Amino acid sequence: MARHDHNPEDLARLSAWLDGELDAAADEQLEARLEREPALRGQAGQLEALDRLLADWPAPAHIPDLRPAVLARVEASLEPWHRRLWMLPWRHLAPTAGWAMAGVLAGFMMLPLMPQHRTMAQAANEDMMLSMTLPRELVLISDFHELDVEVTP
Amino acid sequence: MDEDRQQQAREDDRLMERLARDDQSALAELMERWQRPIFRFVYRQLGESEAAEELTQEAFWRIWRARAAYRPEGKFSAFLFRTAARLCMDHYRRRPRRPIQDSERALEVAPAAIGFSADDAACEHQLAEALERALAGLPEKQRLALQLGRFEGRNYQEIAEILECSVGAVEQLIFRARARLRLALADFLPPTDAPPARTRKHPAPGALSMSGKDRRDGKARS
Repeated sequence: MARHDHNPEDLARLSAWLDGELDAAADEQLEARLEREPALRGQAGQLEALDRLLADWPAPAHIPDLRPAVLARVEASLEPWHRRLWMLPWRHLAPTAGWAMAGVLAGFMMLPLMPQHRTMAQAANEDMMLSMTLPRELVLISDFHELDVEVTP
Repeated sequence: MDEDRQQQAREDDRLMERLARDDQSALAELMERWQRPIFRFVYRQLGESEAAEELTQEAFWRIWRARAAYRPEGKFSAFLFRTAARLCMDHYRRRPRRPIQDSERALEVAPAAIGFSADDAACEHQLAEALERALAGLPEKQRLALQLGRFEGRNYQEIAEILECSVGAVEQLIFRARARLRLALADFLPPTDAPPARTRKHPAPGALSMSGKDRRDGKARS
């Protein structure tokens, strides 16, 4: 009896049989087996119970009419491009754009008030330029070093 | 009934011909005929009303865009369901399915429907939740195939067209879905040694489930 309990082939055949997808010969053969084999019959009963349970697969409580939205989209797609540009939701974007612009302007206005920091890279660059512009021939090496030490922070 | 379906298919093709000539009223008519089944299909797949609304609109929008390229070689309904199924698959990639929320649920699972006696509402609730969890846990293709077969009245050949796979693959998808659900809902199903409540050959009058042969004859249930 337990022989058929987990036989996937039988289950697959039963599944196709429940859906009416077996050909006439296979259909008859399976039905003959169902007559003979209580375990197979039990499995068929279980699958039928499952199908009945599935009949309660939740359906939507309310189905809206979607025609106006789709037809409006279609209508808009048939407009020439310059009219479609005007139909874009600019007024929704306006507040965001306004705030962004105000932020940029405020940033520019604050710029002179910002403390000037010399980065290490900037400092090194300036020292190198200073060293390169010093007269080479009239300065002793020791003076050059002293000068260089003075200007290097 | 078959004649009705063929008539419906011919009417769909005529509407698509009008659509190809940019006739928007043809789209309105197509939506009138198909928006409910498509919405229901997408809703059951995604478990969300809002997303179902969005994807149903998108499906019809794509039909509109494809109006010039459409050739009435297969059934229009298969073309439409394939579009919706593809949208569902894309949606799953972005966000996996969640179980349908209680507030959105239109039907509660009735334990009596499966021959399972339950006296209290708690058991009913438990069963509904278990069913939802089990369905949400199915791989998307299995869920799509199962729904197309059980609810949209499609045979394996049509499901194969919609899901763009072979008939054998559909058979496997549906069988695996049933096997998974059977395991997940084992507590709510009668034991295998119990006699079947009824057989496929003798369905109870007015029963919710339908045999494949009935569905093959075109008796689709909404």
